[in-house]
Order: sequence, then C-alpha cells, then structure tokens
Amino acid sequence: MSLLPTANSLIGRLFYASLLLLPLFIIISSSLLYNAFKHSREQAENERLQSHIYLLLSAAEIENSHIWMPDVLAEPRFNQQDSGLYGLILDEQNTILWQSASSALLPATTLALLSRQQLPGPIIPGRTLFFQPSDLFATATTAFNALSHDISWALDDNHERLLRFIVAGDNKPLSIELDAYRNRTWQWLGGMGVTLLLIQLLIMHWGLLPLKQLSAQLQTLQQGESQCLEGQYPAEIQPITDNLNSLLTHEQQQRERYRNSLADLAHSLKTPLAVIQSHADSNSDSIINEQIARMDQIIHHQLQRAVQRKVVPGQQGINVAATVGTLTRTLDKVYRDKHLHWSTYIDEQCYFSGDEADLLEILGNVLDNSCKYGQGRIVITTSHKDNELAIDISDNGQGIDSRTSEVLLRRGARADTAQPGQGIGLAVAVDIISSYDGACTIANGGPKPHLAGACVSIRLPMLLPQTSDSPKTG
Amino acid sequence: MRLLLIEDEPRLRDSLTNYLTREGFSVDVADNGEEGHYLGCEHPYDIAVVDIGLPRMDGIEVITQWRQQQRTFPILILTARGNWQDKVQGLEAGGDDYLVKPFHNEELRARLNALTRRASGHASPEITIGPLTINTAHKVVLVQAREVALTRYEYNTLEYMMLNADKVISKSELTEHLYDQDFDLDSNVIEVLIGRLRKKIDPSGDLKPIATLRGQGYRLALNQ
Repeated sequence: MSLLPTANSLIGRLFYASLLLLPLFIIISSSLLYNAFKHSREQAENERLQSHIYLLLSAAEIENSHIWMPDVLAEPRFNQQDSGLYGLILDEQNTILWQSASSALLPATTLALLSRQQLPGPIIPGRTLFFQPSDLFATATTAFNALSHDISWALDDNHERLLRFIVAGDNKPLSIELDAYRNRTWQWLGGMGVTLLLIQLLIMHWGLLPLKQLSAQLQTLQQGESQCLEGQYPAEIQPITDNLNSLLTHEQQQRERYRNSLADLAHSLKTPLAVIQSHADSNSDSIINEQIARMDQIIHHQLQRAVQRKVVPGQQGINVAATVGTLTRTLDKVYRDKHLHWSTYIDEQCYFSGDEADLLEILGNVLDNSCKYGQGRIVITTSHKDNELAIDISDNGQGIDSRTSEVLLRRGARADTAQPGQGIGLAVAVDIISSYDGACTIANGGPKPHLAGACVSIRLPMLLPQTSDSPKTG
Repeated sequence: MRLLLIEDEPRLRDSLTNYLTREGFSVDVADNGEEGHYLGCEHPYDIAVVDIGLPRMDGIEVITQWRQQQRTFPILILTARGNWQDKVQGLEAGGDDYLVKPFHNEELRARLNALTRRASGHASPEITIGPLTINTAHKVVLVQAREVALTRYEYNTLEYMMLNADKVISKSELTEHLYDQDFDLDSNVIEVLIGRLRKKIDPSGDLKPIATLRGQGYRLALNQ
C-alpha cells in the first residue's frame, strides 16, 4: 500500500494541490527575499561608495586649471594596486584627469568601461548615480559597483569646471554574498516546504479522521453489522449522522408499519374468506371454492410482493445457517410422520443481503416442497463465491416435471395464476428471488452430495465481505 | 376427542364447531385469548385449534403460556398470515402444525387426526391392536378384517382407548375426553357406552377386548 494518498480522495486533492502551489509560493517568496536583500546590500554599497566620493572630493585641489590629488589618500585601498576599490576623476569629455594608484594595473578596456562606455550621460552638477558597469565579454572580475558624482568646480577666474568623480568597487564579494544568500534561502524554503507538506499530510489525516470513521460506520451499516451510525463526530459532521440515523429509523418504522398494515389487511380479508370456505364446504359449492382459492392466492401473492424488498442500508445481513436451522426444526415438527433426514453442508459465512422474512419465505417454500414431495431425505448446501450466495436444496422424491418448472422459472411469472398442487410456494419463492436480481433453477438430480429428486438451485447477490471459501458440514 | 377451539370470528367459530362436532369431536369454544388460555389450563384437551389474531391475548402468547405451564396437548395454529415468518413464530412458540386461512374443512380434519395420532405415538392413521384395527382418517373399525358399524360416541370411545392402549382409563377421564365441559360427569352413560361397544366388537364374547378394573376404570385387554 502506497503512503501517498490517491488523487481521488479528499486528502489526495489537498495534498497534490499543495504540492503544485507550494513550489510556486517558494519561488516567489525566495525571489522577493533575494531582491529585498540585494536592494539592501546595494544600498549599503552605495552609501559606502558615497563616503569614498566625499573622501576624494575633500582631497582634490585645482591648481592652474589642473586637478591635483595627493599621492597617498586616507583610504589605503585607493593606494594599493588591485585592491578592488578604484577612483577616477573625469572631465566633460570623459577624459581621465586622475586615477587612483589602485587602478594602475587595470586593463585599458576596464578603464574605458568605467570612464566612457557606460557612463550615465553628460555631467550634470550635483547628480549622483549608482551604476553597475559590466562588460558582456569580460570576466566576472571586471564587474563593478560604481558611483558617479558630478560637480561644478569654481575656478579663480570666475570660471567653473565640470568634473565627474567615480568610485568603483569590485562587485565580486557582493556577488558571492548574494549567491550564498540565494542558496541558503532556497535550501531553507525548500526544506520548510517539504516539512510543511508532511505536516499538512498528517494534519489532513487527523482532520479527516472523522470522515474515515463515518465511512467505516456506513460500511458496517451496509453489511448489516449495525443499524445506525454510532459514535461522536465533530460539530460539522454530527448533524449529518444525526439526520441519517433519524432517516434510517424513520424508514425502518415506516417499513414495519407498512408491513403490519398489509398483514392486518390480509388477516381481515382471509378470515371472512375462511367463513365462506367453511360454508362452501358444507354445501359442496365448487364454484365458490374455486373462486375462494383464487382470491386467497391473489391476496397471498400481492401481499408477498408488497412486503418484499431489496437490501437497504441499515438492514441486518441474515445468516443463512441460522435460518436453515430454524426452518429444519420447524419442518421436523410439521412433517414428524416422515422422520425427515437432513444433510446440511452449510458455510457459516453465508449471509443473505436482504430481509429475513424474504429469506424465510424463499427457503420455507422450497424446503416445504422438498418435505412434501420427497421421501424424507433432504440435502442442503450453501456456499458463496464472487459476492454470490448459492443455496442448493435437493430431495429424494420423484422430481418436478419440465413443463411445471419451466412455467415457474419464467421471470416475473405470476404466482397467483398457479394452480394448487403446481408449486405455488415455489412460484412465490422464484418471485422473491427475481426481485433481488437473483436466479433460480430446478433440475432433477443435482451434483453430489445432492439427491436424485428435484434439486432447486438458488443464486442471490451477496454484498458482504467473505472470509472463508470452504463450506462446513453441519 | 375433546377439542378446544379458540376463534374470535363468530361465524367461522360456529361453522367449525358444527363441522367438528359432526366429525366426532367434543368441542369447547372460546372467543378470546384469555378465555381460551384459561380453558386450556383447566381441562384435559386432546387437541387445541388456536387462531393467531385473537382479542385480549394473542394466539402466540396463549400457546407460549400453555407450553410454559406444561400443557402438552397438540396445537393446530390457524393463521391468516400465511408467510413463513409467522408460521415459524407459531411453531417455535409451541404449535405443532399450522393451517392457513381460508382452508377446506377436510384439510382441517386431516390435520387434527394426524396431530392426535402423532401425540399418541402412532405414525400411521391405521392402528391395529390384536384383531382390532381402526382407521383414524376414515373412522372405520375392523374386527378380524370385518367392518363393524359404530355410533360416533362408540367410535370415539374405542379410538381413545386404542390411542391409550397401555393405560388404565378412568371413567371420568373418558368422560372428559368424550364430552364437552357441560356434560354431567355423574351420569352412567360411560358404562352404557362401554357395554354397547363390547357387544358390537365382540358379539360372541370370545375376545373380551375391554377389561373393567374395579374402582380404577377400563383398559384395552388385547395384545399389541
């Protein structure tokens, strides 16, 4: 079983949505953090260069229209070759009037880069600009952070001279720092993302646990192991379970009322019929007898059709072994003279997914026929396979003629049109089996251990999980 | 055979009483469960016919209470609810057989005969003791393969004695099983009945089928 949730589950949906959105969130966050940090660092660099500009301004002197700078500046990095801090003073034509000792070994291309190629326009006194000159073809060592400051220097002859002071610092340390920051940010955010996903997975499992519990309860309900949803649920789910329980109870009560009403109706019709029958018997009136028998069959048939129903949630799964036991005990009593001998091969795990009254009616009618028409020996086998319940019942009687079995087994055949002695009970059983989308066949003589008489094979859908395939001998 | 019929529908009750009386049963009736339960506890019936849907006390409850009180007579359940759930419920409660309404009178008689016969341990409707044979289904009596015509009470007396062949049957027991509860137990009608029976099944006086045990009652004196 995979640890990851499937995409069609609620947890799966939330998890995979997070899996898609979280990297996007991390990328955006990382980018924002990086830009903020970079901006902050560049600002600091700008301020640092600004102070160096002021240093150069304070050291500069003009004599005879020529700029004069001391040989040694207060900032030692200006005096040290390739120190990474360079100073330049340019005139209006971008001619280098002075360059710091640190830039003495800089290649001409780099100086040109700093002095001409990427300067921000003509000199405008008072303007300070931060810029990052870089040569697309140059190596990383030629990338700089530079600050230019334009001034107008008043000369003695009431003239003024426009000058541009440029201080450039090697960008490499800042670059390394920014790269390191970016990597650290990625690592931290990535790690936090993964951790967040795992925590979210756990939270979702915990948060949706009541739904899982509800699902398990619904399954036990469907399997007939319980008749209502049990347990306490969170405030969001409790109203649903309460309403479901109320619905189930109401439905069960309504079914019971319906069933009782129909039984009462049948009772109130059948007693007058019994009175008429008794009088008809006294007067030997065959027409009345015939019509009473027909009315009786119609009542029985319609009553049976009205009360039978398919499996509904909340209905108990009926253990076939228990029902068979009840019926064999009962029939032993009714057919005591026949000294019935039952051979039962019952799988205890066989459950009928429906109403107990319907199972009693199916098995009662079939077994009653076996007792009535057999010679006292009856074999019952039950098994289940692929969610199908199989019940086979055979006797040692004469069997059933093919014409009768054909009429009875026709799907939807009306049991109330059957004549007494032609298997009305079987027709009722077939009717119920059909209503459960099951099947029934009748053969003369079934496979061992079945007997040579009529063998009724019943197949019914079974919704319950199976745990055993081997039938037990009862 | 003394029979208790508990049925609340008056017309069906009257009709069945008439029919069963004609068939030789001594019938006591009750129109509700409580009265029926009381009668069943008070009198030694050979069989009871109980409707399930009864006022005051349900038929199932009547049967359950009888069985709890060790009343062992066979019980035929009359039910309008012909489904197996109700049949099983009735039989598990203590009923011995069921009959679904509406039914033919002949079927009722056949079921009653079968139940009384079974209760006395006889599987077949034909019971033979020595030269005497009776068919409980057709109410025919044969003595040494010769049919003997008996009145209803004579037949009932002989049938009861044959169903209880190994017992000494007191006069009062015989009276209780042959006549309904209104019969005068002090009359000597039983002695007259036994005398007539002896003459009819043993006209020559060779068999001496019924022995009188002074102060105790009668016993069938034939080898089984």
